[in-house]
Amino acid sequence: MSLILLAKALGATPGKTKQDLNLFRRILARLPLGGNRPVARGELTDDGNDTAEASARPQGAAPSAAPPPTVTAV
Amino acid sequence: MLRAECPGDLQPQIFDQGRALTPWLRIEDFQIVSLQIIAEAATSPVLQSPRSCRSPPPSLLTQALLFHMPLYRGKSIATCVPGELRLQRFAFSTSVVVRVSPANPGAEELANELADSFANITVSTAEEADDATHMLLYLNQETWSDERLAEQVKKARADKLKIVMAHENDPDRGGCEFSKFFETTPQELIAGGLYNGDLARACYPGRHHEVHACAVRLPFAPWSLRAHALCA
Repeated sequence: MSLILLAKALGATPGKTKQDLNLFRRILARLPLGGNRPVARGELTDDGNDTAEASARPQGAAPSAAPPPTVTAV
Repeated sequence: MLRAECPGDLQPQIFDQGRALTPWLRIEDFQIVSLQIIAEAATSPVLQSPRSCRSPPPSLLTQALLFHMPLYRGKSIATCVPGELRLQRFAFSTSVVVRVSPANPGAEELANELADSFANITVSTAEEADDATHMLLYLNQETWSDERLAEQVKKARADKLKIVMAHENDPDRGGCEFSKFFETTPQELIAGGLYNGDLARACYPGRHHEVHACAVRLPFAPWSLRAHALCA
């Protein structure tokens, strides 16, 4: 504790060190969140496209505008 | 001194049973460490003789289970308090050059301890002008015994170099009451306000000195327990 208080006086601040960040990167790399994981239908891809729409349109065609929402009176 | 203040009939129970004495200190951050030491000492006998406690709390049972694993056998597991400084991983975002004076006994050792514990700290013992960002002034019984130190501190103050003071309280390292420095420090420095600015940081031995939250060096720090399990 004495050493921490001295380090604080010298300007140290709490935060993530490079070592922490490397550890988090290693953890993230092992989690099935991105990378090579296949994107499910209807899920947004990294570039923001809707995969449901992307898979429905011909390859190379520009994405169409989203259909207007349907309002149903109850 | 503590023994002398204790009533005679209690002295054998307190001082002669091999109990570790835990100091209770004025500064809150140190008090948290003292509380942890007390909590760990309080749980240890239960763990060593489970029959003495009919229904230990589940957390103690978990610890007791850990102690039967080869990795932890014969060790104790340190407690930690959420938010305590030792769990916050302090670091320097920019390089810090700490100047220590060879005329200040103990200063270089302390600065080297800091450099070993934190990245981005360089220790400089140069007496001439250098690229120092701070000066570390280590205060113990021997401080100010060398006249050169007063001149160097005066020059550092004149150069607007930030002076960080460490007040040693460990008797084995020449620790003493802070009031002693008002007798030993050159009057010119006292009158110049050396002790009026930033407070000196107290240095205590043992668990109160460490950077890490663990009394026993575990293969991974408690904060990274979950992360370690994921990476294993």
